[in-house]
Amino acid sequence: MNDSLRDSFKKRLREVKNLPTLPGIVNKLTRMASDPDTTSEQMGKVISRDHILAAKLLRLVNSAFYGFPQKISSLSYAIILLGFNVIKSLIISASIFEIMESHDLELWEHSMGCALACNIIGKRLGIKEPEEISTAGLIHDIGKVAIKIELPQQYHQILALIDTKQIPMWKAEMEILGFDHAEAGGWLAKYWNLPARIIEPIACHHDPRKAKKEQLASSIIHVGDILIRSLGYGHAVDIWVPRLSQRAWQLLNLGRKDLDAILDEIEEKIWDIKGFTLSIQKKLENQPGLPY
Amino acid sequence: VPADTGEEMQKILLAQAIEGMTLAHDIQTSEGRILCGKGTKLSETILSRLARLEIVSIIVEGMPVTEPGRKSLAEEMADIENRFSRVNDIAPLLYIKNRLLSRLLLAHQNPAAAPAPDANLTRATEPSPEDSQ
Repeated sequence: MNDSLRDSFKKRLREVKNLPTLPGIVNKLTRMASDPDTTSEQMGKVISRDHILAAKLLRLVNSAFYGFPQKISSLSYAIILLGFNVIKSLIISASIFEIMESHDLELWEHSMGCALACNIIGKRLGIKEPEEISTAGLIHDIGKVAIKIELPQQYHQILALIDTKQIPMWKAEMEILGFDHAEAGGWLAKYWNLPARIIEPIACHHDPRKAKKEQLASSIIHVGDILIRSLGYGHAVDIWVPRLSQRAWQLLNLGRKDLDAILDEIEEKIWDIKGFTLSIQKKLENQPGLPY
Repeated sequence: VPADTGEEMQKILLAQAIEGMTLAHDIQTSEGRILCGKGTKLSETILSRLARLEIVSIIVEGMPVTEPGRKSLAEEMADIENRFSRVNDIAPLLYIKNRLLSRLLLAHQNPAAAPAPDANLTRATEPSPEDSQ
């Protein structure tokens, strides 16, 4: 892999030509969020103008991976509960994952499963803002979508390499592109101005030791990803459970009792996610002729 | 997970349920209130009521839902072995693997063959140099 090739791939990814443009609403909301006089009602109203987006956001907010005991029915309340960074990440994921729903439902299921696992671990550890952890879990593989959409030819080479060499996806990505989807996801998250608490866990989910500030959050995403893959919710040809970082495991300091409780809760709540996936599947079957 | 009574039953999504299926377990709210008792035959009215209450999954008698590509016990066990084949030296992951295998065997009503999960959880290995980037 020479550097110029790596740089050209990196440039193409960063141009995000083919990914759906972020709704203009994100910029508007970012401007509003920086104004201390903005109320969450005002922001909720702006989002509500896009009915489809508003419905999608409420569905995500009410899904098992945030685990709120009561149903949240207003966007302004969701903004208060989840914070603006989470809502912004959700708007981004709602637009990016729209692609995934129609042509990589397995990755979407893996992503929601990871968000669920991260939320359960975060709560078990008493993390202050488990919603941000869930959100980082939800979009930790966003780099995979970007590579698939922006570099389709290389993406096929990566899949073929996994198959012939029987190596994990990130290794194949390193060989073909010179970077992996974790790093690419980190660039995108940075480009979208997401906070470090979300960027680092995405960028370091394969090796949380690389995280500079967010060691714990990165370790939770690393372990959440491994747990959900252990339970059989992985992605595509890369079927193997990744190696667990000792550092991450020590940082989380989970005993057998904790691990059992976490797995029990994931196994119970994964049914909500299966229901979510099934409803998307049914929706897709009823509307043939999608653009993807 | 409810106690195993030896009768065949299946956990399914409410979206997969159809009229005529029989509940093998009570449906309860998160507070433990029983919404619909064991033995109830599902009707369209009950199904739509459960949907309005946002019930996600139910347990019914028999094995009425066959998922396409449903695997045999041997195939499922081979899948698990294959998935974990590169992490058998990492204690917490080995623990999870054994837990999955014993659950699977229990689910297939062969409790005698279920290995007792036993692993020392405190030991994890760092990704080997070739594993880390």
